[in-house]
Amino acid sequence: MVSSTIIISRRTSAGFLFPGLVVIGIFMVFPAVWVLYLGLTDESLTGIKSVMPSFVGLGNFIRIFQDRFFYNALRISFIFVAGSGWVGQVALGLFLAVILHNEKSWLKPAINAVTVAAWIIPEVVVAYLWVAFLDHDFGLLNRVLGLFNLEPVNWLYHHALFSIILFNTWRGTAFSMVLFTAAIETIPPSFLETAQVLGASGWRRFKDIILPMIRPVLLTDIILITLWTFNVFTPFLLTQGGPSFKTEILPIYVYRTSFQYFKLGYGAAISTILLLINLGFAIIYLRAQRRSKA
Amino acid sequence: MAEVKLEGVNKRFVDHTALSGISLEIAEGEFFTLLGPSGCGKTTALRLVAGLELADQGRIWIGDRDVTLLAPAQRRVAMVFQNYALYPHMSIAENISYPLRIRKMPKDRIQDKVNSVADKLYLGGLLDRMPSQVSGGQQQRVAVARAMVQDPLVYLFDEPLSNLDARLRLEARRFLKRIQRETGITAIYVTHDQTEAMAMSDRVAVLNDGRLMQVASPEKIYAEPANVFVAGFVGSPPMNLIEGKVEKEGLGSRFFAGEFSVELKDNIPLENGANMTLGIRPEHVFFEPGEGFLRYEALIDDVEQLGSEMIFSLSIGEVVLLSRVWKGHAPNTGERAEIYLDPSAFHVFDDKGNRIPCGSLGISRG
Amino acid sequence: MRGKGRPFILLALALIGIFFLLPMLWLVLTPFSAEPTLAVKVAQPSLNNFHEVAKNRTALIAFKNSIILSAGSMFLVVLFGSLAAYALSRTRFAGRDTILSMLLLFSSVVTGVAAMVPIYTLNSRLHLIDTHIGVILIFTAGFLPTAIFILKDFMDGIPRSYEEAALVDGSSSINLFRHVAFPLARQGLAVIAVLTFVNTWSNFLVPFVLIRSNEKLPIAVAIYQFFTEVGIPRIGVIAAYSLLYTLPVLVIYFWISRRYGFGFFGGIKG
Repeated sequence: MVSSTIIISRRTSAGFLFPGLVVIGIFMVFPAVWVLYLGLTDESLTGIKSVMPSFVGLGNFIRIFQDRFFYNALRISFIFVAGSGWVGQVALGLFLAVILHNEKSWLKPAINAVTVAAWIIPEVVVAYLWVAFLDHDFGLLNRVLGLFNLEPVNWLYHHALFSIILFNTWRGTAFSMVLFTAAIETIPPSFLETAQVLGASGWRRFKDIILPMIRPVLLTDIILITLWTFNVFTPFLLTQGGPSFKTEILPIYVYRTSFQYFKLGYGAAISTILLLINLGFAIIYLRAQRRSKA
Repeated sequence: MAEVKLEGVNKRFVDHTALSGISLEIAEGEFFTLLGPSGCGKTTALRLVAGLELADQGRIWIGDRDVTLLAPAQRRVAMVFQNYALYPHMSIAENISYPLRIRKMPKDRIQDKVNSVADKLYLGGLLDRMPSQVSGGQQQRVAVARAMVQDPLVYLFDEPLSNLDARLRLEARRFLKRIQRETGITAIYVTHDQTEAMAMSDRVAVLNDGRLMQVASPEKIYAEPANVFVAGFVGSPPMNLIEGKVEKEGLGSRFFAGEFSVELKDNIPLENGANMTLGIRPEHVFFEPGEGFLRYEALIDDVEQLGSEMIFSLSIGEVVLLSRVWKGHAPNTGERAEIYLDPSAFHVFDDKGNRIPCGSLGISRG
Repeated sequence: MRGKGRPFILLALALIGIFFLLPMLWLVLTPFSAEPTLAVKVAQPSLNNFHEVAKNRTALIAFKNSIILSAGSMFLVVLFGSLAAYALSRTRFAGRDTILSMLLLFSSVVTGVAAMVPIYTLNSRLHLIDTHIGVILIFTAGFLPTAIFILKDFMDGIPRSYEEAALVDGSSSINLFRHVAFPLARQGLAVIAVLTFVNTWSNFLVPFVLIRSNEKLPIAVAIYQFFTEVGIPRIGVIAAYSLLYTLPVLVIYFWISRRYGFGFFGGIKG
């Protein structure tokens, strides 16, 4: 029964909302909008430009589009998102969810436990675990390779991008796996059993029944993973963007320009671009949500 | 079509035994029903024949092949589930043709087959629609069509009519039976609805708690239930079952249940003091006398007017009986009335609940 | 799943399981090793590394800082979040749901380093760089939209009859909140507090950018410093400290998933 009694007045309501909205307004909304302006200045972290920045119009943006490091970061980010996000987390998460959903043995809780652990361990720790894991002389990965008589590899030097793709996949797969598992569980068992009885192979059951029926979830997952992977900063802890900028994804590029080279204005311009890309992802997500509810 | 045989089948799940010692022989082309309350194992038995579960012990044969360990796809069976399992993203035609597309049948042959099956099941103009756009009854026929299109050796039905409302169910029932008869394919049908089982089947297997209670034609199950469970399960309203004791005095025996008693012939193989259950169906409890009927005095506790018939609840002392009468004399609730029981319609069950055949019923008028 | 493919599936699953497990072995073994290195080996068990952590001033101070940051954020998020959620739940106005969705949208867009550039500049202007409160405010602003969303849902489910009774008794709005809504929403608030804790405890980027002096660093940044500092890395300390740092999060996860299922973490993290 919906009551029409007024519990609190509009004024009180506004008062209650005030502190939360103020904090959000000042420390989240304002920066998001202000960055547009900052990108048009030559603000700097130190020196004269930190006290008296001047307006440079679109100068920063022009320089960005001429900056090969920007294009490098864009390219690396794309490979990183495609590799770690799509091929890695989404596909691996989907694979695990499909294979495990009927599994009744101890394998299911075991895989669940290790993937989820990888997801919840704090990012600094996870980064260091991989520094140790990939170490050339002592790392466990090279030791395992040694068991098969393979030469030790200097992962973070010779295969840095591959290493961080592997790392980030390891880190994030659990989310997709859990999401897809829940989605597959909404499919009534009789749907899959009918297919089983009429002779459809596991692959066909996946392609013809599971995939179409979890499409909305699949879309949601791809968008979320894309957004998160695009913005993730943790690889910095492993490679600092190196060697020679080979793993400098956009977030690391922003960090280097703004906080290592102190060029805040320039960094703000890049940030604007990134935030607009994020906004694009978020809008696609909302559209997909709305369509799946229809 | 093929016959189906189960031999000594056991199935256990983690916390309980679903089936024990099940042996059945289902003839080619037979409409065979597995009937029983929830949890009795009937669906498990069906799933074992389908290959969705594997038996712990025993063997299963389809035709002359031992399919006990074969995967479902290799058994040439077709299954229809209670919720039809129609794929919402495929059209009716795509749903029906799915098994054929899996088998990579050429497209024109698929189309012919789908069309012919659809016509037979009156799904003609619906082939391009989506499952959500057709009625419940039509959805059910689509599920059957998908089974038919596979030319299976056996049809397996898991309560396919439960999701239909009462009127549709009657039509669908008759329809399914006709289709099965026309195709001549062996059908194993699972239901908890005894009316459905009785109406559709050539033979019925009644299960309870994982065990077979009786396997026989509907008529025999109704007229000669093998035990108390079957007697009480089949028939609506259920058979009156009176529990009491046998007393033998000299040459005569009597059955006593409180104030109610009946004289038994002395060839009844029961000891003095033995427990016995006497059964009589409500339609054999009358308000008018008849040839050889036994007369009792009873108190009318309740009357249900169903239009076509009346159901009386009456008591003789502690014993409560239901009577089912078509028309005529209708005593009122609270009145005392004279009722007449037909001794040739008595069923006698021993202390374990098993039927004791009574020939011309060793029961005489009391 | 039966069938011929099963051995291959099992092999694939085993390999994947091992892939996930291997990097974590270091965290389990090395803290207790007498000779800690980057290698994973079963050595003589020893608690020496933990002693080293206990003696390390930076480690101890960082621990205190992490507590301050997380506790402060939890406090603000719970307080401001519940007030806002209550107001949104009990008042109807045009665009209420849109505002909520917009806030959520914003919080998922304004993330990462890109957001830190203007935030750093802002905090710099406000003289909040290198302060705990500066970080707490950023954490709070980041998590509040999600917190409000969850709490509003929760409060919608609390029947209004309690408040109506209190109103009849002459209660003021503040009292309504303090004595009726807030206590009744305890369960939801606990969940929000825990989620805030987990998010802030693990966060590296925000304190990394906003805090300069060693005295104020939280554990995440301290560990980073340990493994990038010049000289021979103190692996034993890093290992033991990391394990201690990880334990609260692991414990909380198991506790929450036992009571509520895993669902809560989805969509919140990241």
